[in-house]
Amino acid sequence: MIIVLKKSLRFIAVLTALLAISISFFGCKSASDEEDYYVSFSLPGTFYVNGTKLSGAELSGIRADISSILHDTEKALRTDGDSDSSRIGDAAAGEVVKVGEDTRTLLSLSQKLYTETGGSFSPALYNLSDLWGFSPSFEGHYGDTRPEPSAEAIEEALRHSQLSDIQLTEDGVVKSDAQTRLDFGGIAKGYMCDLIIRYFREKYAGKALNGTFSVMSSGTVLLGEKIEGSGTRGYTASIENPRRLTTQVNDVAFLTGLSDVILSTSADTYRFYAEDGKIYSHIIDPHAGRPSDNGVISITIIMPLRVPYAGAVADAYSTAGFCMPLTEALAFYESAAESLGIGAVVVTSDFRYYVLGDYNVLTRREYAQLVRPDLAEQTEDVFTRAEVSDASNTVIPCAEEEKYISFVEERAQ
Amino acid sequence: MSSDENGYKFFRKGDMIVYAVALLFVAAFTLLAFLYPKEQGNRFSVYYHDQKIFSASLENDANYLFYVTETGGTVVPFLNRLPDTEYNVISVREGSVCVSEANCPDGTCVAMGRKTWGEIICLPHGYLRIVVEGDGLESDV
Repeated sequence: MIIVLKKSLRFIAVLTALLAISISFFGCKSASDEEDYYVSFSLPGTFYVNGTKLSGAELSGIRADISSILHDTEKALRTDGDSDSSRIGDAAAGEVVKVGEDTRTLLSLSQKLYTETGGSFSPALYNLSDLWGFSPSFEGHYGDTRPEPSAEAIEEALRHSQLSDIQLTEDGVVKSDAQTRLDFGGIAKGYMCDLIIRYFREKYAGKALNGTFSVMSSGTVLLGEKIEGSGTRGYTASIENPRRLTTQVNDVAFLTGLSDVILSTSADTYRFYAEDGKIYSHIIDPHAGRPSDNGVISITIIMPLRVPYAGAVADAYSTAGFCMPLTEALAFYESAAESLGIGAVVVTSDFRYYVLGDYNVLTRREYAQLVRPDLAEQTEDVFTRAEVSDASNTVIPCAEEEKYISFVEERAQ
Repeated sequence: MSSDENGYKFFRKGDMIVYAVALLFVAAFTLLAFLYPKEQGNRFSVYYHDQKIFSASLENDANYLFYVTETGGTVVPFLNRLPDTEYNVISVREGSVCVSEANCPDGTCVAMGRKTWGEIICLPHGYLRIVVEGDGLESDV
């Protein structure tokens, strides 16, 4: 009996030791890092329903529900495995591929957005993405320096990257070009935000929601207003500085007074490489078949949640502006500001930024005067706000931009 | 190895190896977590008895002197002259801060080394804290 007890004790001790190793490895890992899922989300601990803060247990349940929603969606939309996108890509011309609701909705939305943006947003660019080394199969090597593909290869990939070759029918998806493949990367994260918004609205129907959440840090949803003390105020948000590495400043500018909006940011810093003094961004221009090259380095879209599929539309809009001449992009956002009430902050490689729409955008110093007057005098702005009417399609990178490119180029070697 | 009257060994060689490996992993990962900060601050602030008494940028290399006066604590540029009272010399180099010299009895603050994020604490000197932080322009998101 004693031997059995001691054997059990020994077993427990060894188990504890192994558990300690496991905790060291995985103790700080978030639920979103499970398995090989790529999409992560963050739901901070302060979320209010009808003015009452949700408990830790309630938030844990919500996080589990959201994880499940995101994993299911990712499974359907990813470009590999047995996903809808993958099966569509593998299908022969004329073959009908049955797809799930998410793929159907996204393809339909994408077709509408393709037309709206004059073809500057397209989900049919997988072949080009792959050619330039930005498809998931190159994960871990996106930043490696590499020569440009040949003009012939680009032309060939471009020929097989036409959204018009993919049709959505009642029975499923049909391609007229067997080689065309889908990549919903430019819209999926925003769409996932929409699914989470829908989840909250169904779970707490008719109740006031105050809280924020983010999907992949580039899409942030601000529900209601910020609860502070016994009252509320609009949220504040920073426009992240895409050149923080060399300028040592965190933000381009700040937004204040935000409520019931989604912020979607696309920048040339997420997946890119530098070669011969030039940044090659993962955002492929569907017109040219090359990484975008219009002088834009970051675009943040502020989209009211009342717009149907606000997240998906914001995500696609923030990508599209990289693939138009700068003045056209600004005009596009100006028009959307009037029709949909959006806002946009477009940052360019001459370290200027342009603001569209009716939102409060403050310089760093102005924001310091508001929240930390003691710091205002020493707070510097690295980027300069410019008038939209002064924008030119020829953007000449400033010295700070050249310094940044040299830095990332040297870092990659 | 210990054994009881039945000859059963509570600790066997294999067990010791498992414990040693476990300890090694835990120590290594704990160290890594502390040694590699996730963020890089660009300012530091000095708190004395929980009151913020000084703040400066980490962008410019400089030496500062914290010392206790009759009315409280103060921070001034360090001119190589040490006071008779409690003091800590704060050194800013290449975006990081450390306490390079102090007359506290335990010397923990000096041993905490250079920081680009987080804080250095000197308990004997009035719970002196040197906190490395962002630029103070925090927003909700």
